[in-house]
Amino acid sequence: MWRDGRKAAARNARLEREWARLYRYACALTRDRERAADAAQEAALRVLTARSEPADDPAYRRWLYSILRNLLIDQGRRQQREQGTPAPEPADWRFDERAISAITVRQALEQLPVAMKEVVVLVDLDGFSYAEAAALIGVPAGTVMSRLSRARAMLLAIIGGANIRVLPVRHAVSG
Amino acid sequence: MPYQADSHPPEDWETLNAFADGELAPAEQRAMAERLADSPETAERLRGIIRLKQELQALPAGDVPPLPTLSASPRSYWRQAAAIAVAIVIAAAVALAPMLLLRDSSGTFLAASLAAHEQFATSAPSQPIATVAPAAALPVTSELSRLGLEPIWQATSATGQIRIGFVGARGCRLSLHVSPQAEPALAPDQVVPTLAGWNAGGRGYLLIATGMPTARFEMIAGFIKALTSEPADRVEPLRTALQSDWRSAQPCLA
Repeated sequence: MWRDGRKAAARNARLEREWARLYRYACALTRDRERAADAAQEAALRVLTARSEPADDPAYRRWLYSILRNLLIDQGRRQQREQGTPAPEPADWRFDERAISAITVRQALEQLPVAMKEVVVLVDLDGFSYAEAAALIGVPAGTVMSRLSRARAMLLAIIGGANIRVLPVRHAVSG
Repeated sequence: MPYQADSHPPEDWETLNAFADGELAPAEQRAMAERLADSPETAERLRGIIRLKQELQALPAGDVPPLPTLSASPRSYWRQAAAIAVAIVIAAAVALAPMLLLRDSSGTFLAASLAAHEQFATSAPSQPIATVAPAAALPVTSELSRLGLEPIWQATSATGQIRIGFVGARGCRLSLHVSPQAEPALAPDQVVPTLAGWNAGGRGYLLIATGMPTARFEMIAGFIKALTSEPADRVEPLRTALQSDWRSAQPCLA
């Protein structure tokens, strides 16, 4: 009993470390925060109730992301049959010390097609290698390379086309 | 902007992106480095890619929904476990506090920091000792977060030494230790590849890593040292260079 409780706590804490990134990935795939939250939470429950989980962290992350991705693919197929794709939800912007640059890049990111946005999130935001992202998506690594380069070109074009410039990030220097 | 909406991507755009991501084979990397040296336009495009990557990595997480918890029995086990753990921690704290305080006051900053790092590095990855309050974090914390190193542990000793522990996406551990006063320089026999110490602004700093390749550690140590010692205008180019080099360095081994 004690061992089960400790194992569950360890699993929960491990998942918690990935939770924000997992939710962000769900947002990238759905463009709908409510649906992303539901999917991420369902994926989390599957993870927490799985009989076993990968021991090493990179494999664990791939496993986690693939559970969420497969779940969203299944839901997407079901939803397409039932009612079509939901409309994207407008993002809420926050103004902090680096709000301008965050907003310009985030606005551009929101405009990318889902397949492109997915590789940007996986590689740039979540730190997956091309090979890891390719295995997760189920495409050759060359496709990830090509898709990512086109995504970045599109991001830069959107930022440039909107006459928005990314401003420098300023940080205080500690004494 | 290095790339316009109404133009075709440059011929080497894909390769340049892969170069920025550290995904090219060594021979391709060398070829691209030569091209960058010869072509200011290509170098400009690379700067644009790196800048974009930096901004993407700096995007705030936004509002994240709560992580679901399992109800029924596992939860009750967790509560029991938590209660027992709290009792153990309190008992241990009472028993060990005099020893810890003695160690902190009579031992060196280096010894105390190494001991604290050892404790941090060997604790289970899923069981951080404490959660870091964002307001309490040093400016260094935000810089390391941009590199994917998240703060998961913080401690302040009775003598005012601050320690922050970070974990990388692949599990490597890095801890920063700040003494309120300048500390003696590391002796030659104390120098190891993933340990760096310096004084700046009347404070002593130590950076210690576990599971991190030496080259990666040296990049971080060099930057954090500059961040704590140099004026802001000298730090910005280093930040850009670090972001550029970071992805191409060997990843953590943990």
